[in-house]
Amino acid sequence: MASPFFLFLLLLPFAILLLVLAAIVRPRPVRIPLKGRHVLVTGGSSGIGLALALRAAAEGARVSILARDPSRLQDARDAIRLATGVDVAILAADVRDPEAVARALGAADPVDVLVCNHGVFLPQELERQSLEDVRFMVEVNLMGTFHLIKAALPAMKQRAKESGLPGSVAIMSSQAGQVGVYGYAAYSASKFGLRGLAEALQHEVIADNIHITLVFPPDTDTPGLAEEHKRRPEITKLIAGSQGGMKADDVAKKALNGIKSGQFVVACNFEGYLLYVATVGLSPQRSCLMAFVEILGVGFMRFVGLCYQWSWFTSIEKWHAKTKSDLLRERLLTISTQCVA
Amino acid sequence: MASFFFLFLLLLLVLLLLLAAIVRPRPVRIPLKGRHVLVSGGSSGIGFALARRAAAEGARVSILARDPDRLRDACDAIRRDTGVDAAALAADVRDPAAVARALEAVGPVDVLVCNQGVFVPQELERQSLEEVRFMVEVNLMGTFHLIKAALPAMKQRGKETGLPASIAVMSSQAGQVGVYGYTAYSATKFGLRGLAEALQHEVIMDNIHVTLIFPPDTDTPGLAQELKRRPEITSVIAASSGGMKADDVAQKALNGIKSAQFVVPCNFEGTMLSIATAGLSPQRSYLMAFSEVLGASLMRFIGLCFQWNWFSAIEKCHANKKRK
Repeated sequence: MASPFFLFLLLLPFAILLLVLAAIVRPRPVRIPLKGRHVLVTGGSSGIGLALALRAAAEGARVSILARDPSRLQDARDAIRLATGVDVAILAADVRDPEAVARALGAADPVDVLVCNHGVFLPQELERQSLEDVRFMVEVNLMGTFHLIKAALPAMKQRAKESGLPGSVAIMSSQAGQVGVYGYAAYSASKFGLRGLAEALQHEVIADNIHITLVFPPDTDTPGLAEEHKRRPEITKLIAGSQGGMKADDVAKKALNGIKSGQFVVACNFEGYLLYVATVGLSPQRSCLMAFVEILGVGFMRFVGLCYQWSWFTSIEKWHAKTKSDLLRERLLTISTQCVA
Repeated sequence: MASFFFLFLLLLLVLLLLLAAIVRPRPVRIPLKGRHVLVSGGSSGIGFALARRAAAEGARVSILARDPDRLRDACDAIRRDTGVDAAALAADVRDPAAVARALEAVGPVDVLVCNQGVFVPQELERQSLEEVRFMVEVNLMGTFHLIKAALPAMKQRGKETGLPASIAVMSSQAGQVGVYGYTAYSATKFGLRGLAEALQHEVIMDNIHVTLIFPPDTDTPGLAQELKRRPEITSVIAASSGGMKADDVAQKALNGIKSAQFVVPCNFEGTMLSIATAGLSPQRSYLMAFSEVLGASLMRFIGLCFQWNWFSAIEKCHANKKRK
């Protein structure tokens, strides 16, 4: 049989695709050095932010952490000094306050790598959730990130020009920023918003040698998650799981690696990887290999995504049916006990 | 050779049948005739066109906007064109108390169309935080305010009538891809998608159906304002997608609302964009699901070509500027 020829013919289109992708993927790949450069991590006194600050310090970066609570910042600084011997700078500010953010960034050195990692998450059905809670998430997660970027950008651009080295704006999103599920209307709104911001921002700052990275962690074992679990609606637990997730340090490692290679999207685990391919949309891609994988995988991932929605809507249906029948049973029981009495 | 082809067709058929079995939520038709349709931002542009069409189809229409004069003009125009008297609600969507009062006054809504929106394009570095906040407050928080205010009565109404209700949210092609000059606007429009996906999970059992509409540049007073401010690079990039008339967008939107589509594209590029950015959005039509699964790969490739085109344009613009 002419099978080697067949094989060649079969592989040829893929090889051509790979070559075309190698020619067209933008922006071009870049490496972002951390050693000796100023890394600022918001929400850096606990959870993923603290783990990020720790790792960056261990890699030789000059680290600043920004958060609201000065005593938690002190504890974080002590923890980092204990673990790495490095002294990080601490900045106390509420990201919701643009002036406080501007003052904090003004007092600090120009930033090379800005990690907008702060975030709050309060899961609840939108009908039950207070508008204060909704606003809280939008203000901290979305407006807070705008405040930080506005404050840091001018000096970052200047610094990148002087040093000739690439800068980075990294934004902590969430898998809830790739798909919206029951209980996350406000949280997903804020996290989806960060993606729109990031895609547009990359267009605006590429010529200044600044590179945007979006990180999409799953549930991560942090104090924040512990709080959130207390409030999770039953159905959200069915859909999103109710156990702990990844370790903060593993997320931080993936995030930092992604930042250093200027990746636009950083997935943190296997499911995250599948989610990223499914939701890649029109996001930029610097690696022709990743672009190749995306093109080959996205159709199948759409099918997988539809299966997930089937599973989720079925769970929602079942849960409601069960709740209805439980309620009915209770009512019948009440009636029957009343009758007996 | 023929057997390969036959096998391939069989696989496609299997895929189609599988999709027909699993697509959720199930298809539904949302009647408009005699039902209460509320359109925010309904005194001009796409909202006005939507209100007029809904009235022409026999719906009871309310329009919500800030300016009482423009509301009155809009009601007059609707009466003139359709004979229908639309209710006018003056409220700023940024004010949750005002929105709640307006919705209380007008009674339960069957089809809530959150169409209000403002768009001020500018490089984030140059844009004031006031403008960023303006867009977030109107486009995103405003929609939260409307939904929170309307939802309880919508659910009650749905229970009483047994008819399906709808929450339609006006997004934008800038809510499918973020491009130069739209950091804040895209942030708000992307945010609406996260809201919509989660909300559909929460209200499906109440027979309420969420629809996201993604128009391109549309000929409206709003666009005329926006074009005055557009950075040059944004104009170059936005030229990738054609413009549309408000009434055509309204027609597509209303059809999508009536068939409870989760995603409603309005033109050819929009359909391509929808397939490219389908993500994990729900899909009720197994035929659309089929095109999404089959078309996603090509669309990703085309998307990468667009980004190549856009980044090259940005490079050129900057090189030109430097030369000057």
